[in-house]
Amino acid sequence: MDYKNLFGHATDNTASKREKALSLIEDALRDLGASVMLVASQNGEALLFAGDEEPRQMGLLAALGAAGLSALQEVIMTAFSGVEGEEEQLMTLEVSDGLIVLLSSPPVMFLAVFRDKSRLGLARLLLKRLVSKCDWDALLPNEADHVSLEEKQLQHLLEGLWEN
Amino acid sequence: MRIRWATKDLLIKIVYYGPPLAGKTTNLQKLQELIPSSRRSDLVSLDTEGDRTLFFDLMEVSLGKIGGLTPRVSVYTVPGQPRYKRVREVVLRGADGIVFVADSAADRLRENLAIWYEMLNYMKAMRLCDSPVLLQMNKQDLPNSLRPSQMQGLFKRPGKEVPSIAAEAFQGKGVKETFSQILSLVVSGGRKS
Repeated sequence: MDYKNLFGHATDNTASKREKALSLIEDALRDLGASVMLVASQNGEALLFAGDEEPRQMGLLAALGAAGLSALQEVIMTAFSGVEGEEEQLMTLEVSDGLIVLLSSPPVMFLAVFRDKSRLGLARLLLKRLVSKCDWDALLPNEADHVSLEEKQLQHLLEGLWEN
Repeated sequence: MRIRWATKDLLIKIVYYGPPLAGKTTNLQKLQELIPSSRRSDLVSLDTEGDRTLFFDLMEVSLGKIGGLTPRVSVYTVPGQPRYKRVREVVLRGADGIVFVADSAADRLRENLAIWYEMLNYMKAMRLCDSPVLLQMNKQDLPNSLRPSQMQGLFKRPGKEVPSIAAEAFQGKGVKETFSQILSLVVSGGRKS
């Protein structure tokens, strides 16, 4: 897979970080036999790994839908957004055909879906490793910086705020 | 500012701080009148006794949509009485911008300054030193009020400018301008004065 092309005109250094991060996630996916891996940042961006497909970047809601996890959207989001500060939160959901393990470590979250329930311990270890080793910021640049309000935008918003 | 990504809200917390009866709640009441109900929550006043706020007031204002996000401003007041120091500390936590509502009456200067320095101490402890503070010199209509030029130099902040605005919140004067200016300061990172 040509990761540099996947992310466009990245600098070599950034591309290398991304490539390393992607490799770590793909290794974890393979080691766990996971059908889905997902990394999401707190600004709502996600990178979805599903089977052999190329990783796809999209909004988290869309990613959950694409991964067939729409029904669990609320639970997953609560687990992620409910965590304040630096604390990690590990959550396991048992579903009919396997397990979903979610490790939320704001501002990032890793999620894996796999069938073999005996691999729960391994899943936890792998997700913890991803949190500590994976440069997720290289995968999902902090959108918050780009969407933060600018003064012109604010003025525009304020003009429409007041009652005539 | 922070993002509540689940709902794509860009959250901004503004706190109106100041001594008792300086006009913090009045500011929010006037904002409530000025902003259409479709763009704001009701003003929630928790535990009030007569004309004094014993806990805090809260109103949420939605600024519309931009870049896929909805900026939402949570506006709080604090109770000004000395015994509610702890409540002020709690409400101040996480503030993106602070409006210090000073009572311009000359005989309340000492009280204004005492609570001003209390606020600065809390800000330092909470690492809010980068959050902008806007001084609202309220009650300029009082006969014994200090003039803005007399007040401006008294409210100092180490290493920072203290932008100020004159107001008569009870008449609605300066309320809108204060709200707009503190948001502008938050957005510009406090550079504007």
